[in-house]
Amino acid sequence: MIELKHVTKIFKQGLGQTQIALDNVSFDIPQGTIMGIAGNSGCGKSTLARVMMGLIPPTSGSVLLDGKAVSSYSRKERSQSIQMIFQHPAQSFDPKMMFEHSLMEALKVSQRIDRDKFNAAIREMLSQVDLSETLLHRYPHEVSGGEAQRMAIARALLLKPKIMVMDEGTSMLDVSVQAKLFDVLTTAQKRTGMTMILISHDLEVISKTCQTLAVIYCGSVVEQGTTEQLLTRPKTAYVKKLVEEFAFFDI
Amino acid sequence: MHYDIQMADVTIEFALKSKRVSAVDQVNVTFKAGKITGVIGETGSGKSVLGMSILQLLPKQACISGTCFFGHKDLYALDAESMRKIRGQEIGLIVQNPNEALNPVRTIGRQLMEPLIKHFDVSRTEARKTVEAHLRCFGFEMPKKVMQQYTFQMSGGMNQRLIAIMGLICHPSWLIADEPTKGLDAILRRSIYDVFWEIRQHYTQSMIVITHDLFFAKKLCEQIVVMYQGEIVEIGEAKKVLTTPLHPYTKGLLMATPKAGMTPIPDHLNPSHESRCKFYSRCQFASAKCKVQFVELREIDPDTMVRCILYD
Ligand SMILES: Nc1ncnc2c1ncn2[C@@H]1O[C@H](COP(=O)(O)OP(=O)(O)O)[C@@H](O)[C@H]1O
Ligand code: SF4
Ligand SMILES: [Mg+2]
Repeated sequence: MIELKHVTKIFKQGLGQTQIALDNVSFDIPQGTIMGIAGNSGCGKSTLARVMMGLIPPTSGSVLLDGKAVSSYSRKERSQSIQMIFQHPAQSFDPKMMFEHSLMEALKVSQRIDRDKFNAAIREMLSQVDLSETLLHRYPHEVSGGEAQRMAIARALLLKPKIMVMDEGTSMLDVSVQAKLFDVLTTAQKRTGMTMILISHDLEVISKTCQTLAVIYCGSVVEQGTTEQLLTRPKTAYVKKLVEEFAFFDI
Repeated sequence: MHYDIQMADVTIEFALKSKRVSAVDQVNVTFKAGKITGVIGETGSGKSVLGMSILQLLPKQACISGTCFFGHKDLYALDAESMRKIRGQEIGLIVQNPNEALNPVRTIGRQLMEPLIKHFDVSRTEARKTVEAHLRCFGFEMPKKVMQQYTFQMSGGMNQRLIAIMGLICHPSWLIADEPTKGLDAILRRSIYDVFWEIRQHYTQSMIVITHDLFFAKKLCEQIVVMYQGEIVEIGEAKKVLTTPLHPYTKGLLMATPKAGMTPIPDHLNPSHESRCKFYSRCQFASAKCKVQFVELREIDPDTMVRCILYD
């Protein structure tokens, strides 16, 4: 379970100026559910993700993972509890390392097992994300965007996280690659019972995958509830507008 | 005079250190003047390479064969000087990324006026007037002020409109746009649609829109060209292709959209070497016939072509 309690994040921008990226955000995500976080570019979605991951501290408020402040987790504990997939797979991999190496490194951080077990675990995980083992001997620039993204998912899953956060993980990919990624992710979610948080500006993707949804506008949560409820009976003008912009392209 | 853009037997390869990469494979297509044609297909299918080849904007390693006629000129055969005259003045380009097209250290006014002064014999005053009129037409209420500002002072949506103006300021008869909605949120995506609609109403209807956004394409375009691994697999009237597609790949693309339930196109269904159809390994409709028959792009009716033996 993740709990956000009155999380506010203010960035200093020099010349005494400040920017409120998150403004008093609170919500709970029960273990094993899939929650969507929607909103336009620059509305604070990625800041929220980074605060939840414990990568940056909130200015005030707190983030609790299973009742304990995320800020008190060690790096190792954190990587075992929560894993993140970024928009550009390049952000997740060292460009000078073959995938096999990157995956090994990740496993070493969390577990002390021998090389054979490593290999078995890695190969098992690749089959789950439907990637060929031959890709292990390639570098990040030698595979397609969709393949690199599935590799990032495989690596994250190897650590058996309780929570997986995906920040715009498919917004630069085309529909068939996106469908494949979500297929892989939701299957893994069902198998492991992990909590998933999907951050996206694409309401349609969210509506197909998430049970609950929070919509953010200028750093504040403007509406939250079940996805069905928000998308069929939006209350605020902003969510109504978002729903309309998608319906516009429907006909 | 509005000419069609006619490509015949176009093959484009990249000569890399260790190997040759094929990007476009034997493409024959006519982009008709007065129509918006959408080019769709997954990343890497050759859409951008095909589009950029028209303006000779490919890197040096690109080897092009075939012809691309615009009127009586083969654009592939033009020297650099003649191509410079075509670019911007006859065929404009709207790039995907504002950072590529806009200069952060020069005022917006200077950037927009420059092509007018360079290509046409107009005074600064006339150029300024023209730019002001365009800014107003694209929703900037205080054009004089905007012209003194810099692009970093604009929002994402404003910069999108500025690159559109940049592409059409010299009133080219054709426009090529590469992935105009890629990575954009719902509100920006909608405003891009409005920008293109504005262009269509007031500037030109001859456009090639390269996109992986199927719903944007369906709403905006009249004709659709579907590419898969460098080949055209389907050409047809936009609404038809995107509601009742013929080619198994186009069908798969539509099923993969969130609206249809995000069903992925399967991988490795059949061993790819068995057929000359590039989609064979992923095709649910493949049969023994696909192994023996030569699969080529065939006309179904005057507006529709498809590369699949199911329609022989
Ligand atoms: N500069 C380049 N050097 C080598 N290969 C390239 C280059 N540009 C594109 N390609 C290759 O050409 C193919 C088609 O690419 P592209 O036209 O960009 O596809 P799309 O626009 O449909 O995503 C891809 O396999 C790509 O890797
Ligand atoms: S030719 Fe055969 S394999 Fe190729 S798309 Fe048609 S049915 Fe599928
Ligand atoms: Mg492209």
